[in-house]
Amino acid sequence: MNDDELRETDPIYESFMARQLEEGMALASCSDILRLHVSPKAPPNFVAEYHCKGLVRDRSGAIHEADRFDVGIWFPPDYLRRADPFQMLRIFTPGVFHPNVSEELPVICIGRLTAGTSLVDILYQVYDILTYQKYNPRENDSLNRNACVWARENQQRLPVDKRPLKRRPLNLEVQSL
Amino acid sequence: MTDKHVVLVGLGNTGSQLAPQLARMSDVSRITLVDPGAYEAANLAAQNIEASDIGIPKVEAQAEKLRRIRPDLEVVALEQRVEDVPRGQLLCDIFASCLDSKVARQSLNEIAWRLNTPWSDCGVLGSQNLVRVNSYAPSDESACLECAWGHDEYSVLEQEYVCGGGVTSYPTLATAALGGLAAALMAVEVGKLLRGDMDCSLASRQLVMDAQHHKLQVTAMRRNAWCRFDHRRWQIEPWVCPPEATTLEAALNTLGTLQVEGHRFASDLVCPSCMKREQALRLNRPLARCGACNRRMITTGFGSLDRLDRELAGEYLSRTLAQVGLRTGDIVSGGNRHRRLLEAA
Repeated sequence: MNDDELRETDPIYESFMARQLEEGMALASCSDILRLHVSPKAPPNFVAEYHCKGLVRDRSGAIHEADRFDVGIWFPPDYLRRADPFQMLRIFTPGVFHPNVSEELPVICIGRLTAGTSLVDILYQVYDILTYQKYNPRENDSLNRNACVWARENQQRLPVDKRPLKRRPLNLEVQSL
Repeated sequence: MTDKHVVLVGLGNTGSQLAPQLARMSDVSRITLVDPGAYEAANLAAQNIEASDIGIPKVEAQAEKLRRIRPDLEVVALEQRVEDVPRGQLLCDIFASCLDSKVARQSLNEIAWRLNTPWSDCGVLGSQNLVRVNSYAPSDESACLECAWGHDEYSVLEQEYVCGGGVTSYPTLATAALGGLAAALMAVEVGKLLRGDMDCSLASRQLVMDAQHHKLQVTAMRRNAWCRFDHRRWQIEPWVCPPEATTLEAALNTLGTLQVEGHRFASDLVCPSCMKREQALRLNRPLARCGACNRRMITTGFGSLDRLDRELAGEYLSRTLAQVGLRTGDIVSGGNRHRRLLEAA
């Protein structure tokens, strides 16, 4: 059974994916930060474009803010039964400087991922990482130990972007004159 | 009713006590033992081993004991995780599962269903003196392990990741007595399944024995229409295709596309610990380990392929199946046909 066959014949996976698309697009439409693109052929299924502040390190070693990050998200055919965060996520933006993002490889680690976790949850988790709202503080199991040290020494600068991913409606009370 | 083949997976507390009971069943002529571990001193307290077994692979230690019990018994020892064993090497009459990992149980459920083979599973919970035995008999209507799983079960599956954690395991803290109780119940159950006594077996049922309060409970399980497992069963044909002597190109000429059931091909392997990278087409068996630090290598985002065709195989077409990681007994498919690789007719 191959990827395509499974997609054609597994109604549970099919309905799951349809729901992810709907919910993901709904989130993107309510966000000033997130754009979501759907790939017609997997992988990847989705490319999430985050217009937020995050950190990158350039070739000279200087750390500075960037304002766009692209992340690919692939849902393998057996995703509802087992999840491998390394296989599912790929960071397309080079040079991201973060304890949970490798500088050598296009790998981003969002930690434990339960099989069947929704696309929206993953989008939130990736956003929290890119903006340093969430990061792994332990050097010994970090993907970027230098970033770990940097984060520990620069906690006052974190997170680098505090905006919520989803636009919040203004709760204005209008009083008649 | 003779010449039965039982595959026993897991040789810890329960498995080490079940193995000799299986060997003493006169209708069992072959036992395959599967476990990747070796015995440690701490195992002496609860497992059916002796001090001289410490440091020895579990499958070897138990195989030796079984041969002493019954010299005519054919014993095959596979020092591997069940997920890594070529599916065709696991063709048998029944699986007996004494695993302590939910992920491994999930894999065995899938394997048993694909091979259309009944399996019996047990578990113990030392803190509450509980013993559990389940059986599953693949059919169009019967329940599988995952039919009873909800989000909570999937959320506690062991998972390996780099940042902030790693593999989580849940020790059962069971005594040898509790393991022995589970092994005895399992042996009775395996006997029923081998005789085809399905009505009296625990197929699609669960037996829980509460040894603390002397209670026994049997629960029926139903096929879950929303089960995440697809319950497919294979029709497997033999295919004489020695992996050492068959090129990828020759296999693709026959099959059109090549998929190895239970595995994916990896085009880009990375060690999550030392970041050593290996770019070569190979089957990503979990046993693929980093040559530098021995950690299990992973496939980076999108570096894995469910199936190969001529285009994807590209420069590796002239490699043999063995060179890209296939082994005798692997079940390969192209389209909907499943074939078991054989060395010779």
